[in-house]
Amino acid sequence: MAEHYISTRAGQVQWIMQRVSAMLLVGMAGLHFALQHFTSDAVSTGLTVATRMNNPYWQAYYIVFIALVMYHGINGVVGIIRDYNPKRGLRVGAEFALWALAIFFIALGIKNVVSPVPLGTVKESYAARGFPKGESPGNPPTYAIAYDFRDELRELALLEYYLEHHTNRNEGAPLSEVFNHDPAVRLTTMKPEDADQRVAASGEAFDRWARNVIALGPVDPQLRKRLTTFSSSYEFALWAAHVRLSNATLRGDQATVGRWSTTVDFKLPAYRATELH
Amino acid sequence: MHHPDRGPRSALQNALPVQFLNGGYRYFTGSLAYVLHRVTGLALIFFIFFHILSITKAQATPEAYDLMIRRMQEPDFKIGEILLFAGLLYHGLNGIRIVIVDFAWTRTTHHKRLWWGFAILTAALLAAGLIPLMLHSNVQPLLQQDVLPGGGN
Repeated sequence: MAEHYISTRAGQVQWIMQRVSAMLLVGMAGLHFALQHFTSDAVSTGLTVATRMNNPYWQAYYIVFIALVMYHGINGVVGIIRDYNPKRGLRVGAEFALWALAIFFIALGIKNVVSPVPLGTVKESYAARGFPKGESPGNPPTYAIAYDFRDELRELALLEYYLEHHTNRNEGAPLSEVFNHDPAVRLTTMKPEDADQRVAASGEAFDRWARNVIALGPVDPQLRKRLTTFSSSYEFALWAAHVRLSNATLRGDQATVGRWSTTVDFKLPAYRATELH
Repeated sequence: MHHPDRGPRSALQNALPVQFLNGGYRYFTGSLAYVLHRVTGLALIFFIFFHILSITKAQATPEAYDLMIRRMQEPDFKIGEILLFAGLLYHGLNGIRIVIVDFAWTRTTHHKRLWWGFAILTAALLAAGLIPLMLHSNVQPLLQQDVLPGGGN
């Protein structure tokens, strides 16, 4: 009973340094992770990161952080290898390779830290891409960078169908040629009965959606479901649909959805108007 | 309270062939902590290699950075982010526990209690941290079928 446990290897430099670096890393890694993942405005926007990486104090922080992390990590792996007691040649070779790897990654990390993209270049880049001043794609992105509008197009097609049938508008060719790129987006070329059935089936949810789109414009990019691929034809189709809605707004068209009717009110977002790929 | 012999083999161990018996070693909370510490440590160092390389790639231009961030907001990366958070949290807190035990001013009779204390702390911080992680995610909430502007729904 009453055994006191104090490790007997406390004199070893690597053993003690593993503990010292661990205590420093708990704080440093905690701060690093919290900044990138927890802070309220969801920070990983290009501008915030560029600002931070151009700050010399943060650069010093990250140089120390990278060196400590690589030391602690490689020292830990070396300890694991030693626990398995391999043959001397193997052990020396593995440790040499691991420390070489550590030095490579420390050098690479420090190179990244001391040569960030200048803040001015980052600002110019976002300005050139049509972002409002001081804004950049956030986490989640406030603005689309490259975007697949397939889901929205289905809904816009549905809305187009609604508008065609409820406002008696007829302004030239339908968007069906564009929509025909995707077999999933063929609502405007469906038989009217089928389309009616589909629209009826979408029910109350679609009525709410259409009301909001006509009254407030397209779905807020921040809340929009984000997809992975990008296609210029979808971008074009969306742009064309936006232009038609804008024209309807300018003419003061009446839109009727179900029992509800209003003037079409649609504002083309500034960044969308300039960003036609 | 002292049990140097951890008792006879369990029914499961008797059913296993001898090469799976692990030399008669029976796992307990401390060995679980040890295994998890190694697994998370190895996973974290591999993550850091990936992390430094991806930053190197993304640092070329602001556009490359944005594309990387976009990719990292995919649901699969969100799962990875949660795993990273869990691994980092466990490795850090268990590391603090190891340092406390190594420079122990307490008796070993407190070690189990210390382990459970840190286990509960880890679980609590993990649960707390998942809230902001999921709030910042682009993974659509399951019950929120139509997200509309202006609070229309």
